[in-house]
Amino acid sequence: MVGDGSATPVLEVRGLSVRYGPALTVLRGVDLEVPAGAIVALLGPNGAGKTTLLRALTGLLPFHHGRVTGGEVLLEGDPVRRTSASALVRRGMAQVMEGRRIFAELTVEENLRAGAVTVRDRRRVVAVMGETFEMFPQLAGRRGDQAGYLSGGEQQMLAIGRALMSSPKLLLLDEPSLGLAPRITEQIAERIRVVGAAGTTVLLVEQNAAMALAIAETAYVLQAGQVAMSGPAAVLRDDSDVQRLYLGDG
Amino acid sequence: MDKFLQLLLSGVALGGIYALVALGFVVIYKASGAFNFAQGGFVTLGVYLVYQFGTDWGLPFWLALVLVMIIMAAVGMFLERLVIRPMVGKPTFTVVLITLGLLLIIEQVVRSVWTSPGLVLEVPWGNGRSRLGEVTLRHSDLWTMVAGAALLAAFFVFFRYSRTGLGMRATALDQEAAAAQGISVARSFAVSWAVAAGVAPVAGVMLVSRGGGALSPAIGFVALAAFPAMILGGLDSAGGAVLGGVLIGLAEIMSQGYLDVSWLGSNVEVVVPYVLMVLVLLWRPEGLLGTRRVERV
Repeated sequence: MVGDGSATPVLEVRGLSVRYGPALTVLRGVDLEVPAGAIVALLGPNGAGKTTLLRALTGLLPFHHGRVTGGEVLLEGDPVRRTSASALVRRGMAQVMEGRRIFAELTVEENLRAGAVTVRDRRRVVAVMGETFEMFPQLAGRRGDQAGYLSGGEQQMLAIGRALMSSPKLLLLDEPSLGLAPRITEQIAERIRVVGAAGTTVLLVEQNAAMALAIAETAYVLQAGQVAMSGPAAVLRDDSDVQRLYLGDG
Repeated sequence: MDKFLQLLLSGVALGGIYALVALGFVVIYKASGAFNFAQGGFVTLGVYLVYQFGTDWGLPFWLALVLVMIIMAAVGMFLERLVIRPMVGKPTFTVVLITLGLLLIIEQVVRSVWTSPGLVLEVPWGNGRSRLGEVTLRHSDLWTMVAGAALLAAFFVFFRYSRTGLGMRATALDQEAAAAQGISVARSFAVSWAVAAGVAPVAGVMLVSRGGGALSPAIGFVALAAFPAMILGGLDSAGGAVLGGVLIGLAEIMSQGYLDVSWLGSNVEVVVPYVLMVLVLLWRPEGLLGTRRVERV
């Protein structure tokens, strides 16, 4: 396998450490690998550092006065630890942020166009927008509406659709099930599965372990800033610790 | 009726000037959510530079104007990089105070560079007037309306259809989420300052030309009269800036022409725009065309 181009993971994290301000260390030597075409889940309790890891991967730490103090991030084998957020999107990384963070005052269509801001070819933007509306038919009928008036589930679909507008190789999702009814969460999970099946590599951060383990092939468990467990999703599903801690089997 | 038409024309033209100034404020507010007091300074510096290149050094007026627009755009970008960019992430209030400082500095620079009194800006339309029936049309007013309409159209197309314009709107709403889409927040800020400073000389030329061409370093403060226009129209709306500008211009001129409140003292028309502003804010806090904050229940 060594030297085989197809074996290079889309994302590789080696010994990543992150600190906020002068003293608050949030991640300590995190190792993680997302193979091409896979759906990988990242589980863990509140405050474990999941969101911080995504910020570190996507260049958003400066917005939170955080910085990477050690380790490396490789995107398709290239080091990108110091690459800016906008350059990372250009290189094929897109994300759905925690809390959706859609532009509430812009229309649905403008939100999607904002997701395609790195795409120069207008015809391509139109084509991808068409695909997005096919994938999320609920959004198509409301393209001219202010996005803030969509329901929570629709906003989450818009956030996913917006991230897909740049046709990313790697899609990072932060708690897409947060605050959604179980029925809606199922719909979202199904869409993520479709995105993965279409060839986009996915890193899914979730507190809803049942949902994440159902659609992921591999999973990592983050605890207090370190990887506490990792392995095939099926194995973690049956692990007694995971069941006790995250799947609610007291 | 003729008096009314005359006042209407005059009011719309004055409103056009307010609108031109307000557009500069709006473009920066739209990208950064900060109110840029230095815009008044850009207006002053811009019109003095047009005087320097055109009237003093003899370049054709239109060439001088375009040249100064480019220079001012560069000045705007430079100042943004120098004193605003380091403040990213700091409270908006701090940024606003810095822009107030910039306004005072620019005014002082203008005073020290152009020391001779009584400078007069020459414009191609001079003090020309045409008669349309019983109504007199000042050529400077005509050009103001043309420039206002053209710039508004350009702004509309830019913010609605261009990637940069959309990126700036997204940046104003949520900087981090904008960055997550690949929008360069730094670039959005730089472009907004370039555009705001770039249109300032046009507003300055119109303002000075309406007053007969006499230059004064205090023009920047006159430009702040565009303040109610912008609040009235909605801080983040280019269309609102123009609507607000025209309404304020009309209110000022009409009250000057018709309102007999001499018992309140003279110059009541100066207060009218602010009264109008307060009334509109009570009714619609986001301004006439400003973006309504989305609130779901």
